[in-house]
Amino acid sequence: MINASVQARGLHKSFGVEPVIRGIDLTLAPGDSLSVMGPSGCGKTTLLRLLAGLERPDEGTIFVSGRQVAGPGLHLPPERRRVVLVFQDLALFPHMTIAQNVAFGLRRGSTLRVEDLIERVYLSGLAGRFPHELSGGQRQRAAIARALACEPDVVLLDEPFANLDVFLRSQVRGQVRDVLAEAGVASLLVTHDLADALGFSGKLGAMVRGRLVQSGPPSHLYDNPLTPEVAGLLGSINLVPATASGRVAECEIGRIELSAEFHGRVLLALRPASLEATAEPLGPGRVVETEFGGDHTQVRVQLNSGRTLAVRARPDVRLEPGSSVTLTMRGAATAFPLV
Amino acid sequence: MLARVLSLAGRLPLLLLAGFLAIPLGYLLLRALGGFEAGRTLLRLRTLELIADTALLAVLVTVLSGVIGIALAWLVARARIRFARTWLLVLATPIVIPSYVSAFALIALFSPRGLFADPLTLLLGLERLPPVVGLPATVFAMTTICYPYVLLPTVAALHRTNFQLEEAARVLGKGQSETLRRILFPLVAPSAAAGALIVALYSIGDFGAVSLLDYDALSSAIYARYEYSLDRSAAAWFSLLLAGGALGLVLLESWIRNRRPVGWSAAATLRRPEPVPLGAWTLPAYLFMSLVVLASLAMPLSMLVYWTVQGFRDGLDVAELGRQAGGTVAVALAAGGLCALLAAPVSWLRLRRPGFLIRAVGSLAAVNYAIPGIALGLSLVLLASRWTPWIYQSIGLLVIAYCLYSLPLALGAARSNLAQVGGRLEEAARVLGRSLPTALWKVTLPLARPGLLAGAGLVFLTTAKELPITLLLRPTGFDTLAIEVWASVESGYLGEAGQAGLLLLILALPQVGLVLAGLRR
Repeated sequence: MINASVQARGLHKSFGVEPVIRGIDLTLAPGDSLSVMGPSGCGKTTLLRLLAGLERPDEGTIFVSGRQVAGPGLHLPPERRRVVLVFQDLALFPHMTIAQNVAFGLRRGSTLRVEDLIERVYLSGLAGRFPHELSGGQRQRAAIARALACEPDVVLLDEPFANLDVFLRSQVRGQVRDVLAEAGVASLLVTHDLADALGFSGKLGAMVRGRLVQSGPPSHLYDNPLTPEVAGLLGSINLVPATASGRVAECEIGRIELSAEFHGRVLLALRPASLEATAEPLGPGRVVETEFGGDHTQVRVQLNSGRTLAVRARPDVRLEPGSSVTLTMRGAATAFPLV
Repeated sequence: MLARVLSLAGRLPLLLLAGFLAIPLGYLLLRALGGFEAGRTLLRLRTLELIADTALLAVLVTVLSGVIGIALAWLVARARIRFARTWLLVLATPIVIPSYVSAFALIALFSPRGLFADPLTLLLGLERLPPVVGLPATVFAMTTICYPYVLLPTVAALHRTNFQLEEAARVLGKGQSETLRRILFPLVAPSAAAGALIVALYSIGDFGAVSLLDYDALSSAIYARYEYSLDRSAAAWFSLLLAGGALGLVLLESWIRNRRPVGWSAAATLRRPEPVPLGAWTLPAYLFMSLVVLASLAMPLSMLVYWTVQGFRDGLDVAELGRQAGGTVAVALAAGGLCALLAAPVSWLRLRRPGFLIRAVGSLAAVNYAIPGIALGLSLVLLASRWTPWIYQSIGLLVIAYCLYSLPLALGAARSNLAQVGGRLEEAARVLGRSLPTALWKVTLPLARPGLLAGAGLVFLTTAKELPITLLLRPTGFDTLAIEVWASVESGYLGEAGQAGLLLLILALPQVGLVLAGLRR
C-alpha cells in the first residue's frame, strides 16, 4: 500500500535481552484510526516510540507516507518524520502559554494559524494561560492542538486519557476523536482501558507480549478471539478445560455448544454474562459469594474440582452463599485448542 | 482582658527575639545616620570607585561561575561521561574551601615566596615575581570555589526536568540544538540563576580572598577604616552600602524564584535520557573537567599539604595549633547548639501558629544571613564598644554574633524536617489524652531531632570557617584556625597557614557528606 500514512513491517525491539516488540506489522491509511489495547508491559508505548523515532528498531522497516524513515542502516530523527506523539502526561511546556505551546509546533512557512488551531479544540480565550492554569481536559485538548500544528501525517496517542476522571473522560475522548477525524490524519491510540479503546476508534488491535495478535472491529474480536488473552482483553472470562467433539464439548458443568468445530482437549472461554446459575439441591456447583451490583448480581460459584467461576446473574435471581446450583451456558462458547 | 494580657505576654519572647535579630542592620542605620557628615564625605570619587570595583569583581566571578557551572552541569548530567557521579562529587567539593584558603593557594604557588617563584622567574626572565594581587587573582580565587553554587542546583534541575518535554519538542519537528535552546535552557535557567545570585552575594561580601589578594573592595575598605582610622562612621556607611547591595540581590533572587511557573514537577513516568555522545568533543570535555579540578581542588589541597610538611620541618607548634583548633570547635559548637535551641520553638511556631510576628522573625533572620559578615560584625563591634563595654571582646558576644549570622541555616533545616513530621501526630497525642507540652516532648521533638541536628551541623561548619566576624569580635589573644590561616598569610608565614588550613579542611570535611546528600535527593 504505497499511499499508507504509516506502514511498519516486521518490527523487533529488545531492551537488553528482554524482547519488547516481537514482530509487528501495521498499516494505517490517511484518516484511519486504530486503538491498540494491551495489558501494561505488553510493549504499547515502545511501539509508539519506535514509530515516532524516539527508539531505533532492532529489525524491521517503517514507511511514513511512502517515505522510508527506519530500516536497516536508516534511522531518521524524530523531527524529520511527520509523526507526532501525544505523551501520556502530555508534556506541555510549562514555561510557555498555550498559544506559545501550539506555536512551537508550527513548521517553518506553515500557513496554519495558532488561533484557528486553538479554536478547533475549543480553547479560545485560554490561549494566554499557562498549562498549570488549565483543567485536565483543557490540557488534553491543548496537547492535541499542538500536535496538529506541526501538520503530521500520523498522530500517536499514548494513554492520553489516563489522567482524566471518569466523567470527563468520555467527553474529551469524543472531542479528540472528532478533531482528529476532521483533520484527516491517521491516528493510533494505545491504552489498557477498554472504554478508551472503543470510544476512540471503530477498529481495535489487541497487543499481547510484543505482538499485535489480532485486529478488526471490536465485535469481531469479542466474538472470535484468536487467543484467550484477546478474549480476556475484551472483558472478563472464565477459562475451563473441556473435551471437544465437533460443535460440542464436555466439561465440568456439562455439555457446551461451541462456535466452531474442534476435537480433543480444548480451553473454553465462558463469559460471566453468558452463564446462568439455577438453584438445584444436587447441582455441581456451590455459591461461595454474591455481590449485588445494581443491574446484575455477581456470583462466585465453586465447582466440585475446586475451580471457581464468575457468573453475572440477573438481579432478580436470588442466590444465597452455600446453596447448590447448576450452571448452563447461553449460546455458543469460544474454544481454544490446548497443545 | 486577662486573656489579652496573657496573649501579649506570650508574644513577648517573640517580640524580644525580633528586636534582637533587628540589631545589626538597625544599629548600622543609626550609626551611619548619626555620622551624617561622614556620609557626605562618601560622595567622593574614591567611594564610587570602591563600589564599582566591588561590583566588577562580583559580576566577573558570577558570570565565570555561571558559565563554568552550567557547562559542567550539562556534561555530568547529560553527556556520555565515564564515572559521571564521581566527577560530580569531585567537582562539587571545592564548595567547602574558604576563600582565604583559595587565596592562600595562589599566593603559595605564584607569589615571590611561592613554590613556583624560582622556575617562573627563570622562565619569564624577571628578577623578582610581582606579588599576587589585584583583580585577576581575586577573580580566580573566588571563581574556583564559587562555581559549585551554580553547578549543584543546575544538575538538580537537569535531573528534575521531565525529559519527555525534550522528546515532545523532537516529535514536533525541532532539532537537537533548538530543543536545547528553547526547552531545556529555559527550564533550567531559574535554578542556575538562583545559584548565580548566591555567587554574586558571596563575592560582593567576601573578605578573606579580597583582603589577602589586596583587592580594593568595600569589604576590605570597611576593615581598613575600622582598624586604622578613627572615623568609624565611614566604616558604618560602607557596611550599610554593602548590606543594601546584598539585600537587593536577595530580593532579586526571590523574585526570580517566584516568577517560575508552578506545576513544574516531574512527570509520572520518568524516563532517564540516553547520555549524549560527545564525539570529537570528548577529549576537550575531559580536559576541561580536569582543569577545573586541578585549579579548584588539587591546587589548594596540594599547597596545604606541601606547606604543612614544610612547617613540620621548621618545627611545628602542636600546642598552639591544638589551642586554635580547640577554640574553633568550642565556639562553633556553642553557636550550633544555641541556634538549634532557638530554631526548635521558632520553626514550630512558624508552622503551627503562623502569624505576622513569627514571619517577621524569619525574615529578620534571613536578612542577617544576607548581610556580609564584615558588615554584621562591624555593626556589633561598634555597638558593643560604645554601649555594652562589659561584653565587648568576650567569647559570649562572638557566639551571639555567629548565631545572628547563621540562624537561618538552622531554621531552614528544622522547618523542612518539621513540615514533614506534620501536625497530625501532635493532634493524635492530644486526643490520646496528653497535654501539649507532653505531646511536643514525646512526639514532635524526637521526630524533629534530625532536622535540628542537621541545622546545628550547618551552623557549626559555617562558624568554623568564618573569618570577618571573628576578626572583628574576638577577644584579644583568642585565635581560631581561620584567623591563623589569614593572619599567617598576611604576614608571610606560609607554613603556619598550611597547617591551620589543612586542619580546618579536615574539620569541614563532613560538609562534603552534606553536598553528597543534597545530590541524592
